[in-house]
Amino acid sequence: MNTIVQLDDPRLTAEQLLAADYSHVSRQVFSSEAVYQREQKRIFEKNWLYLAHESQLKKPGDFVSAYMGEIPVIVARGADGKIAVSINSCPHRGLRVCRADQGNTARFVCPYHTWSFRPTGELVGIPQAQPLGHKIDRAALSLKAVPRVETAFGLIFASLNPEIESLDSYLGDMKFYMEAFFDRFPGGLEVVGPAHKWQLKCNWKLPVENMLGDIGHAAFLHGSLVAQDSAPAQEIEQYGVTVVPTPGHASAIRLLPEETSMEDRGCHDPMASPELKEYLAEVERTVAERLSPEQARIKGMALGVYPNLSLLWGQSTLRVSHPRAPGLIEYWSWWLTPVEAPDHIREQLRASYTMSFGPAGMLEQEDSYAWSQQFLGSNIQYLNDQPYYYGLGMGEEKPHPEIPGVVGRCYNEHYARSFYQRWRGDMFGEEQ
Amino acid sequence: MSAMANKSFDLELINRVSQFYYKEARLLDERCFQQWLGLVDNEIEYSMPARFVPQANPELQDTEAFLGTDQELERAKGGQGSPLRFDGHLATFVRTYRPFKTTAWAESPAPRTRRFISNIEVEPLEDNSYRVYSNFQMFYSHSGTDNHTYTGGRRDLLKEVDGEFRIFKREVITDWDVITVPSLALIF
Repeated sequence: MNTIVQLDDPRLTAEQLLAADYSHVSRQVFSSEAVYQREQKRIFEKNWLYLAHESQLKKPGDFVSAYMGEIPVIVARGADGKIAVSINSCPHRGLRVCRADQGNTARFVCPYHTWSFRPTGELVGIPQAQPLGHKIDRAALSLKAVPRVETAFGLIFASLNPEIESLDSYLGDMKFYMEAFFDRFPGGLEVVGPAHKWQLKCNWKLPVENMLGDIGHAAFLHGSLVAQDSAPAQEIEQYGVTVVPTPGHASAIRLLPEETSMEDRGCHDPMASPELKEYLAEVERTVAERLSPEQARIKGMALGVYPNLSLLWGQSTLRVSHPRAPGLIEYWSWWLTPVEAPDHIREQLRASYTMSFGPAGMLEQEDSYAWSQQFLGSNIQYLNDQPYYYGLGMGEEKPHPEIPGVVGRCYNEHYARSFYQRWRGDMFGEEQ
Repeated sequence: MSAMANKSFDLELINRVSQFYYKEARLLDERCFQQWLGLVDNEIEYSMPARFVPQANPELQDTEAFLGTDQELERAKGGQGSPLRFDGHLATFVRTYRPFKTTAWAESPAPRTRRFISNIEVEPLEDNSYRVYSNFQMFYSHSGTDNHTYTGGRRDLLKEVDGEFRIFKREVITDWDVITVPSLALIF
């Protein structure tokens, strides 16, 4: 762990960590304890964070555990059908009242003194209070409610910042790209099963960066499975772009020519079975009912919503990078699939997730190895005068006539430069 | 029927299954994944349920079902479940051949592994088939001091084909909530 920079160290400046044009990013951005501690306050307590999908909370009393940075929270659907988020720590002695990953319950009970709470956090009872004739201030002794909860495309976000702009405005033009994925399938998408969770020895920002638009690693780090001269790799080099609608959010997409066949638009895996190809082609044939012509031509790869939500489009997985230490994350990953797809199609879509991604995925294996190696490199303090190079494609990115945001060709790293631009604003801007 | 007459106490059978597993473990530890693939049937179903912590069901209190481990396992359930892994032969083939490339970066240089197989229980079924339970422990040494211990259980369906065992089904049950090893994309 890098302990050179202390929490209030005046040397911890934006200029020390980032080049003015974001072409260079200091190794300490990933390894400094001081940076990490400041991120918890200024990023994870200030922004909208993705917690869960509405499909995980179908009935009143349904709940899932989640995190906002390092803070454990409960996301639950109340008796009134509304989704509430509360901090999972008893106001009496601090224990977690919810100790399950998911389920349905009428009450959470703190193990220590059996204080009990509704799934949405309101205090129900204190067994010790009645014999004492003690008057209970229920509002003050409920689980602390997370002040803001909003949803978009079935995705439940919450924020610890009561003053934050609406989720709609926070996402802005990113919605155009999210729509292109989340509204693509008739009947929409659902998250299936529990989160797949694992620990990785890396900084939380590297997985995020990867899925904001790091097309440049795909055919290289994953060369054992994705040949550089393969049709998918060629398609990516020809049509692949990274788009930044607002700094911090980004997406890697292929903007296909209009004449592209429905099968090529829908299918991400040339090895897919004829029935899967036909199912995906049929989705594309009806996509005009749900999307604009430009959105219909988008064949996505990945997208990210600031600060730590990622989506892999062709492999149908949502993921969140939860920070635990400068060099430690808890990575949560879910399988996301069309609600109305028949069972045998869902099985095939799932295979493209589990073979490649998640804790047992072969591509994930390589990504996580690279991310943990990056953290080791970030700890070489001798190299603090050699920041990482983020300058690929510098200045090539520009607005596009058909799609919103700033667009860079294939290997342009502007998606990451603009992420660190946003990050700098949070970390070194005026305290909110 | 006395216990001694029960086929599950067939010592020779248990011995043969054990020898099969030890050989399998040796092939994997010596990185002979292509030879290992020869132990697997073309119809292989290789699965690994996700494991999670469910909310305790108060109605089941005082019964073994209250703590039943099956309720913690997320299996494939056709297309309705989200396991960590649900591989057929093609996926198994890709997993066994991928490491033999310089570009398989996570395993190049290759990790060192040592597997221990124990707790073998054999239940004879129809048609030269056997339901076999076993546990494994695997020491995994990646780069430098990045060392890990994997543990888990296996539920196999073995069949005897021409006097040799073949793996028709394998379900790997892991013991983590949050997985703390680098990858489960290995063969267990």
